[in-house]
Amino acid sequence: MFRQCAVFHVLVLTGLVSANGIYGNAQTKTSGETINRYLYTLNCQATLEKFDTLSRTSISEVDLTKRSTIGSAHDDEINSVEGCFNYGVAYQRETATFYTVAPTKGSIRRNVRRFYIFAFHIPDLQAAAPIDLPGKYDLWDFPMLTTERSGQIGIIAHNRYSHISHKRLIPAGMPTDLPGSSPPTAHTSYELDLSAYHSTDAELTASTNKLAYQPLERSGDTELIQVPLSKQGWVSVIADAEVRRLTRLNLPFHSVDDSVHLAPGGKVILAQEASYSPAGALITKGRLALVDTGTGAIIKTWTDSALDRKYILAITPHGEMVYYGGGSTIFAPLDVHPSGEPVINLRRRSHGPYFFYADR
Amino acid sequence: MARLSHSIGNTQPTPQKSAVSTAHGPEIKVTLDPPNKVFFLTDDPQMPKIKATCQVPSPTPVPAGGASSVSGPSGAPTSAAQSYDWDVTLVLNPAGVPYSGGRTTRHSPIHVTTAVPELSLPFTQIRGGMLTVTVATTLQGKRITGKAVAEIRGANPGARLIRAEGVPEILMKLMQLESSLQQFLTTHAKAGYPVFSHDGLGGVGLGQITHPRPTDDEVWNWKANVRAAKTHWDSKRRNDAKRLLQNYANSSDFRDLVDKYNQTRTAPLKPLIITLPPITDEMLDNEAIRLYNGAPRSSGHSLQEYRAEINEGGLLVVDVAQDSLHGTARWQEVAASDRIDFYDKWKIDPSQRGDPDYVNHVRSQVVN
Repeated sequence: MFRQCAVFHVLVLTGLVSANGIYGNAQTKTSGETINRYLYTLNCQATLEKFDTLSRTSISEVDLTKRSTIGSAHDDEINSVEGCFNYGVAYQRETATFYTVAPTKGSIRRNVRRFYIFAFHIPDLQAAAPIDLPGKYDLWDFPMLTTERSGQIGIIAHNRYSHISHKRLIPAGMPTDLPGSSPPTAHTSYELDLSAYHSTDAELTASTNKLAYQPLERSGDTELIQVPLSKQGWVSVIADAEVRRLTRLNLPFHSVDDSVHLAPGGKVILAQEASYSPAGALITKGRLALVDTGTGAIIKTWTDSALDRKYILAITPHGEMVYYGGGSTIFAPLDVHPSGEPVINLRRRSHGPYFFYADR
Repeated sequence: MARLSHSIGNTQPTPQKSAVSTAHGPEIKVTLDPPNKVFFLTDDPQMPKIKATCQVPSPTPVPAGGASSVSGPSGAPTSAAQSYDWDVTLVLNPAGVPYSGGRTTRHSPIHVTTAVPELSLPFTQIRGGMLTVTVATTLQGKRITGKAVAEIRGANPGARLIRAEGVPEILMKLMQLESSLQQFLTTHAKAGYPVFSHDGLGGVGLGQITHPRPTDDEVWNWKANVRAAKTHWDSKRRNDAKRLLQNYANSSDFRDLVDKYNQTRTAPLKPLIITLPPITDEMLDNEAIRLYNGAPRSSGHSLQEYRAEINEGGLLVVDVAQDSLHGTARWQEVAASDRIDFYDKWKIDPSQRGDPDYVNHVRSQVVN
């Protein structure tokens, strides 16, 4: 399955290819693929950048604050906008629309920020009328967009869940995520009914029939999750929703929730050595590993010092990793041949920048 | 009294101690005492004491059998009930003042009529800029005018005077960083004009007061500027900094960390009730310093100076009590390197990041 890159690939370029800070080393690319060809990233300042994953170039960069009322929240009391202009992103392929949530004018001091859902059509970025979300939020809190396995997009706001449909909120029961999982109740973790899953890892199934977990990424039937273990803390686990199997990610280096990434199709995971600083900053290093999600076996490990203090964003449908840092976004080859559905970021907290793939 | 028609353009005027304003006919010569082109506020601060004197030209002798060429229709002698109408303006002309962004200030209009040809300028506000003294009187039935222009610039107080206003040392350091403890420019061609903030947002003076928009007093009166800085500082410290730190314990950010920690405590361990240690004065100071300058626009983790400490795996660091039911998390100051990593991770434009080590840069200031 993990052939050395060759058959469908052609050598394209070396070095700097764009004035936008996008460059790569000797690269290969698949020919003729257009499905999910375009990678969109959305940062904390509501800047939407569009990349062509075939040419590995940045096509455009749009400030969504100029296309909508995103960013209008300003707390005069303390002279600042705090937090982000927007949180999360969810892309609805059928309508070629992506959603994000953003605070409106409010007061951090009084904990009365309110949020709207903003919708933008791809690729013209036409903004729809924003949807007002009920309730108020403190500085560290915000509503969370979700994408269900069916593709339905919803939003969790103050422990209530609604589907987003035709610019309206439709109350719904909390999404269940993996088969056999219960929605979050008292805390942000789902619970997985272990009787519906099997694993050769005794620690995962040790003492209870319920296993708490938090989802990280999903592609097809494969979901990358984190589960709490008493000795190791939270560890990364591959959940195969089709065969109901749990496989712990055993890496030769330390990684955290934000440094493991599924490849499209869910057959491979790319992990980067990383840890958190005491204040919560992600510290990344150049050690990398590819893991077979079917067996949990390590396919390959290597070190690339260019990735020190760089952040892997995603793996493209064409099998390249996209990483960034220092003002550049870099496409670099991986010996993987992803297939199937694109990766959806399911992380619940504000792990940005956000991204999605689109055909246009 | 109608204000005399006289405007100061946008080009830098050439200061002069006396001038005449009428292009034709007799003119009044106006002189200032002391005869300076530039006056300075004192460092108290007080306005300079300036006396304006005018010299009215001698009446034209009346030819025999005819009226004086400058006499009014009535032919009334100029010495009878002579009065002098004075207009004094003092306007900040922003041209050439760095980062002033077009900001101007004005002394309240001064209109005075005197019976003698002199006026001690009756300033009621601390202001500087272009001083224009215009006088008008009637000579032999005709209105004649004259004017003098000069500049009034500011003088910086020393640290001793500023401290005497009850400024806490941490705010002295903050002002040292913000303005080099200067209300007014020192080495520029516009030395003595207010120091405006380099970000172009109109911040001014010792405290670089920005929001709300600084008043004219705060632009020229360093004591008013310091009062505003103290008010701003006290508000940041007592309200915003305290509130932010207190709120953190109830934030979803901290609650999630507690949740994730407790979920690793499997039976027989019970979930802990986890609290944060009390907020110290030093924490309040540091949080207020970060707030004082405003946060960089939309920078995720910019505002908070403190967060709960986590380990390398992202798990809350907790000191567990002996009863195994309670725990205390730890405050962790966000270091500059953390902040830069946050910004990098979030792809925050460098121009939007502000000073990631602002608090330390303030604290390391030395104020003599």
